Amino acid sequence: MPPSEPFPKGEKICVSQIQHFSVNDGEGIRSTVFLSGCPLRCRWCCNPETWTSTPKSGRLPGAKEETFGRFLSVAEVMKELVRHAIFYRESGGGVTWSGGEPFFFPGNLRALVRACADRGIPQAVETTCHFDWEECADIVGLLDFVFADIKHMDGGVHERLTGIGNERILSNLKRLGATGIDAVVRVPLLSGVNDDEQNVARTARFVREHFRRPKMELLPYHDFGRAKYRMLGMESFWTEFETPSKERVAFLEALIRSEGVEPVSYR
Amino acid sequence: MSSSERTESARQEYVHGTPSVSCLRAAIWTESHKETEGEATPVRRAKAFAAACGKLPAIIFPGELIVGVSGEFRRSAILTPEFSWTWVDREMDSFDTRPQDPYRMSPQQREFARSAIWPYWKGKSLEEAFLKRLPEDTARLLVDTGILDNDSKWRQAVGEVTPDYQDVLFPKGYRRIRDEAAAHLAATKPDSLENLERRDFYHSVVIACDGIMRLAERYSEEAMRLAEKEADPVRRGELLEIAGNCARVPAEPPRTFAEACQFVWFVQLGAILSENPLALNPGRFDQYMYPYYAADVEAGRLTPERALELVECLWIKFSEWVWTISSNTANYFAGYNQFQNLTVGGRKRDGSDGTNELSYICLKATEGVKTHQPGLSVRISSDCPDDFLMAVSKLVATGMGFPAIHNDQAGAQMLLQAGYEPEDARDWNNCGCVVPHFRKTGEWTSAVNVNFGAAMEYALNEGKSRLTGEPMGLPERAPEEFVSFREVADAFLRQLANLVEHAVVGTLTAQKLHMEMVPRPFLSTCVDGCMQKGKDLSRGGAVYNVGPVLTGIGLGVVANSLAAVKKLVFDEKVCTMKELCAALDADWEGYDELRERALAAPKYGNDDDEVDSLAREISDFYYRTTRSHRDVFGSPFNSAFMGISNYVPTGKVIGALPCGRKARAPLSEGVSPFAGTDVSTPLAAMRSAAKVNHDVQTGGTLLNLRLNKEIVSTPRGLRNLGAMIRAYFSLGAFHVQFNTISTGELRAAQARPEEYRDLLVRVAGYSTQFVNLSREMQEAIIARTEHASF
Repeated sequence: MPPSEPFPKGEKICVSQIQHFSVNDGEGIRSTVFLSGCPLRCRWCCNPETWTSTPKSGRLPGAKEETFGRFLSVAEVMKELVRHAIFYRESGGGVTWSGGEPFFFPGNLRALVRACADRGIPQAVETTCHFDWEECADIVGLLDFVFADIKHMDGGVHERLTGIGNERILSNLKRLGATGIDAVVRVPLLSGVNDDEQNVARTARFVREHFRRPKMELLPYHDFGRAKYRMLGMESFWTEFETPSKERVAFLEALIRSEGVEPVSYR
Repeated sequence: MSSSERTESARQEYVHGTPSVSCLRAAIWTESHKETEGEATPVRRAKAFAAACGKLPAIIFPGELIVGVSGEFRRSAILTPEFSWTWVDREMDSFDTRPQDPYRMSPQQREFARSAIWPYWKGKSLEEAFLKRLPEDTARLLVDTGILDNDSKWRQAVGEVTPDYQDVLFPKGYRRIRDEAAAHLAATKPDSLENLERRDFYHSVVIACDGIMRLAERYSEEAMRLAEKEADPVRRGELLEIAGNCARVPAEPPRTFAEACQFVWFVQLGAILSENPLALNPGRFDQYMYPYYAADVEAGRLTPERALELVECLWIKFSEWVWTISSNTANYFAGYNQFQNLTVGGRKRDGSDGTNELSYICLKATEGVKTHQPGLSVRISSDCPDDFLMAVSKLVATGMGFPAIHNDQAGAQMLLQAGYEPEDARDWNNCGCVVPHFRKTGEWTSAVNVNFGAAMEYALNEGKSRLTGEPMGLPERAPEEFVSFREVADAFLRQLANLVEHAVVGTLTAQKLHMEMVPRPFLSTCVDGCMQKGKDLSRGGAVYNVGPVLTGIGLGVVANSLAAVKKLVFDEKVCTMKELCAALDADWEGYDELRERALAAPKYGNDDDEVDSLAREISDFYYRTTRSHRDVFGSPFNSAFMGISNYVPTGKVIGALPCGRKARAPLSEGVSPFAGTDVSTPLAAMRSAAKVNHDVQTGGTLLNLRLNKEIVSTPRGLRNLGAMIRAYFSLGAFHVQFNTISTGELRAAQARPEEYRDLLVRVAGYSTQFVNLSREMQEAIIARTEHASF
């Protein structure tokens, strides 16, 4: 189990990046806060700098050194976020907690989520759903929206792809559905790996069964993370996958719809 | 694509036609003046105007619904030797080859101008008088220097008028205006100096009214003549309708939407012939045209489609005529831009929302014909319908840069600040570029461009130009003698105040000459107040006389420069003042590391209070300083941070600056960040720009931002754009305009990344700076942008 308290380094939280003017992970204009630390090791992950909870540095040949991540206090994070409150307000946007896995250090996330809730800032989270539900239920209760992944319905395949089984993920998703919080289940779509009709249909049926307003988003694989692996000297961890065709994605969206789940997109 | 075959073919002609100089107006003007020697100046001008109206060929081009042209060419550029002929003489041999805004002019025309036009005006033009009267120390800074620039006020007419259709032109028509002037003339005895001048004024108005009515009559006759020999029954019907419209307007009040459209064009045409003006604004078109539109639609005389076609025809007319300007002026106002600003949307006089069907039709017409005129502005109030904001966002997404988006409440606040009654303040329209304006006003809305970079340079170079070594500013101590940052900042403000003083001298000199030499009888009919006072517009006849606007250029670049001096010399002591100035003298050659540091200092446009607070202090100081001077009518001067293209030529005369900018590079425009230095997000740039106190900059403020096309490619994206606009305005800011990015620009950014550091693109669920991406990822994004899908 990852530690829940205290903070990884004194009172500070390792924030990989704060991306303002983020418009593809939730409604409106958002700020996405990438929190470092993750229990999964997805082989297509495009943010390998967030696997552990310390800043990472590296450089591409001939380029300057770049550092991902810095230690910030809750107050420092909030200072950056409240500057954008007017844009959240006008657009119906807010803050999106992402990672890494934002629930990896529940104490950190709790402090941040409470601070935003106190200021009336709407909040979404992007999560693997691999966390201790009992410990985190109060945090989930303060969120307005959840993006949760199901990388594969088969536990064995899931473990091969991410290093971890999916039992806890599916169990948390059931509980999430029961809370009634608005949610979208996402599938990072890898050609020939998890884009078969059987897996997608199973996922859709699971979503329909456990969510009142069942919605799914298919995210086709991209290789934009590759440069980062090279930069951080992590090339041996890099695996190349194939991007499913547009036609394949459209076909699977139709399949999802036929299972009674609404396909959505924030592109 | 235009809404009809007719407007599409006119659009094609407009796109492919080359502007051609027409000597006709100048020839008629000259002949008339030869015949009126000794008469009162206003009367002479009016007679020349009437002669032009009576003698210019009345040409109706194939397919036109709105008619009237200022010369023999569809895209005619007229000459106004009464303002200046010397620059035309100097430049006309290279008119067709100059890089910015070329014109066609034949050898025969040039010969004619030299033999038949110029000789009469030698010694009589406004330009010659201005150059003779301008004090020498001001002339050093003001004449073709790029430091202070007001040549559009002595080589050209002023323009900067919004004709009053609401209360004067439409309700009265020119016959009644003429009759009123004639009655005043009869009732005014020549028994005092004032009354003698009044009589000249009323006399000039009578003549000008006769002139414009005669012009319309001649178009009516021409339409009738063409109709008689027209074989196509549809076109024949149109020509008969044109004949009817021109027989009616502008002599009488319009009765239909088509008549009102033709009326508007005759007023524009009259003004063009009278002085070749800049910024002759059609104003709140959707407001004053709506009653005609609504009544016609209600009566079944007009469909929305036909209304759109008429509006498109009018847009093409606005775009076809060409503002003839010197190559120097063309650098400041690039792109054949006549700045006929047309405003739609916004609150009515009573404060209720005024958006109507015509507001949407105007947006649609601009999207359809893609003409550079009218300059389309929208007013967005906090009560603006979401549908309208969405329609505005959609037009932005087409990437044409229109419309200019304005904060309704901020505009009204600026006018209140300038002394307007609240109802009038609410009824503002845009003038020229981004100047909040009201139609019953005489105002030089763009009197002088003031180069802020020069003030920075003189402060750090003992009052001398870094490029020429000439003493230009106030004498100043050697830079190494500054012992604190405050001393540097104060030296800059002193130099700035000195430039403002000279800008005032140049303006007063020009204003006085305008009163004496170039009265405006025709435009005086368009502005309320002149008739009642018996005073020409140039002599303060308007209801409101608002002080001239001094436009500051380079706010961002001087804020950055002061921030760099503070950080490098005084806070971190990375270098001494002497070393910094040596680097500037060397244009940073051999000072790569210091320049890196200078570039890394805080930059305006990133929501960084350290530098943004300097921009606020400088802009407030500029406001207080300009406001402390008064013009010939006793009105306080006004300040502005407008754009146009003036930040390019003003940069060419300035050496390297402490912010890391190289010598001769452009300055920054309006309240926009220096190009490429707002590397955070457009939201941060908006927050920085909103820290300037917009409400006191009564001459307008301008913010240009770049946006990736993809961000606004979906309904969600369009809603987000609308939200950005509302958020920016709720921070109190006045104007924003967006450039959306095409593949060509992404390619340019690859080639010259230093100029595109602010270019934001969406990568994968987030957006980031394009130039910060690896080459392979850039290629991926270009591929995606081209296919507009993912």
